[in-house]
Amino acid sequence: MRGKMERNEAASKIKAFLSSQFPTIKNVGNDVPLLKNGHIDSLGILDVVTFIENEFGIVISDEELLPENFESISSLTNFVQAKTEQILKC
Amino acid sequence: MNCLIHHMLSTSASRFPHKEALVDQVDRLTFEAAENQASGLADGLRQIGLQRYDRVGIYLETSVCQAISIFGVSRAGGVFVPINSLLFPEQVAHVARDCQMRGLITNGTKLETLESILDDIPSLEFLLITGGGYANKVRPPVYELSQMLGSPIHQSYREASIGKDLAAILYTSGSTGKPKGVMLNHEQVMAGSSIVSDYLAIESSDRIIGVLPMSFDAGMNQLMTAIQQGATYVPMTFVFAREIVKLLQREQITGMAGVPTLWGLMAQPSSSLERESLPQLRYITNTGGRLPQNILANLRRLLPSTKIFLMYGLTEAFRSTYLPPDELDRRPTSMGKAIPNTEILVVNDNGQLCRPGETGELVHRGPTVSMGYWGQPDSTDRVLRPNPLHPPEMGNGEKVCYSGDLVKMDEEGFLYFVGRRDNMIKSSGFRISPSEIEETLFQSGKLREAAVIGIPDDSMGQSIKAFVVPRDGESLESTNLIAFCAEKMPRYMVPKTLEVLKELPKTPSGKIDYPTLRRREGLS
Repeated sequence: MRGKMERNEAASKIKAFLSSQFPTIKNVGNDVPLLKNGHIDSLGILDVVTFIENEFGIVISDEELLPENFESISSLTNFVQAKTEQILKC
Repeated sequence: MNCLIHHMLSTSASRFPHKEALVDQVDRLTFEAAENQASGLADGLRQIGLQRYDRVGIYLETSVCQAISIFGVSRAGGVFVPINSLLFPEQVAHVARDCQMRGLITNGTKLETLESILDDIPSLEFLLITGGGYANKVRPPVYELSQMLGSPIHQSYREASIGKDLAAILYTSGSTGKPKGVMLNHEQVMAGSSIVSDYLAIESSDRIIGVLPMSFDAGMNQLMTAIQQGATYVPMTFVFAREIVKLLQREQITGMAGVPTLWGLMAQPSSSLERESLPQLRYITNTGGRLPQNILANLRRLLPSTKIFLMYGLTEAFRSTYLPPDELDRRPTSMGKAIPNTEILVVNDNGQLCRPGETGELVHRGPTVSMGYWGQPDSTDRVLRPNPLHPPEMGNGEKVCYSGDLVKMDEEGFLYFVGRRDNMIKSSGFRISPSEIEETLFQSGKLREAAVIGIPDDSMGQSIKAFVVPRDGESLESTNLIAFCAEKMPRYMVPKTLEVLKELPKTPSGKIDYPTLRRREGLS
């Protein structure tokens, strides 16, 4: 139950950030491709990385900078959740 | 004789029919297949009524399909207008209206975003989409590109075009107003590919990656040089620099062109360039702005066997200068010297040649000087002028290009960039007009005054700063105003910072005093 709450919270934080920075994302669903559809470009993604690191207190390694981790709001949320769980386990 | 752009493809198709010409994630086309597709498209375009000189927009990502569209439109006698895929519907509408576009080639996803503006483009008579998946519910008829490519009809067609005919219009910004369309004829585009192929020594064994947009002259030049020389062109879109590094390796790429921002991303550890060795990468080029010295040093370390060419060009004259790689140690801050068959003059305000070390305007003469701006004779006359060094008896026989860039030349003819003559901003390789951003800021309805300047920035070249004065009684949140801009313009045009002032500084004649605003930021 608790995990679900956190997931929703993370998703809404990510969505809020993305729609403030990338207005074309405002009304898109959680599974809509953000990169393939051109909502976020190569410079925009750097801001997304910085936001995720600061907001969720995680460090994204070079190997994790992969399109599949950033493809949609859902995949970003999954990625953030997996990373925060890693930290809790340590 | 190759006198038109698509002749280069036909010639390479007869020389290297089974060699790879165009490769992306979807397609791998040999020269023969590319030639067949382009001629199929040309037949199809003529069948749906395309006439000689008709403008056809190509609003697609960098891809094989985009390349085929270019050669197909050229072969049909039309004029291709590449539109940067980052542009928003409003900017696409401006381009389409400005050049009275007859047809538009795009994909279903992009077409959906354009629905609201299609009615505002009265000249538009057909749409061609790639990839299908679009119900025909918009005004101009929609055709499937793939159906045209599939079955070349090879109707007999008498080719009327000559090298002097308009081939392409590339939209670019200046210091004021909306983007203007730079007109290039077939001769100019082909002269650009011959010249660049010469100094980069491009051969049929080369495999050239295309990451720059086709709406950018350097991006288009890569496609043209590859096709002309029978080399392979590998277009891609990317989000992370490591995707590029992966493709460089997988496709055994030998040449790549980039802009400073892109090289900044490539030089970062996350690009994985550090861990990969790319011995086959023969050369890389930088254009679209000065490459910061630290990035240059990093690239030289990371790519020890790759030649690095620093280049400079402006769309109005296509390509202008390059620094030979063996000069990098001696003059790493130079923008090089004239490309082959081209002369670069440094001219002072009296139209005389500057002495070495004296600052003047870069003036370009050679076969790549464009035909000027579509529908803008006055702006054209300001940029393309008679050669100032010719005796009056020669009249206006030769037009040279006044770049608006201030430079110095050393004793040996190498050039150094000093600054811009006007307020134009250059950020991540894009030319940006301050007045276009100011206009968008005004659309918020909250401002009395607005002024936009470029601030030097290591990764972007320049970042955009806006100064605004609210209308009486308006309260302003700078984040809201930035968000407003982000809804109206592509990200590279959105101000990074915004400062609210009570009043903007003015010149005695009442105009906004940009130099004072720049000094406010500690700039000269």
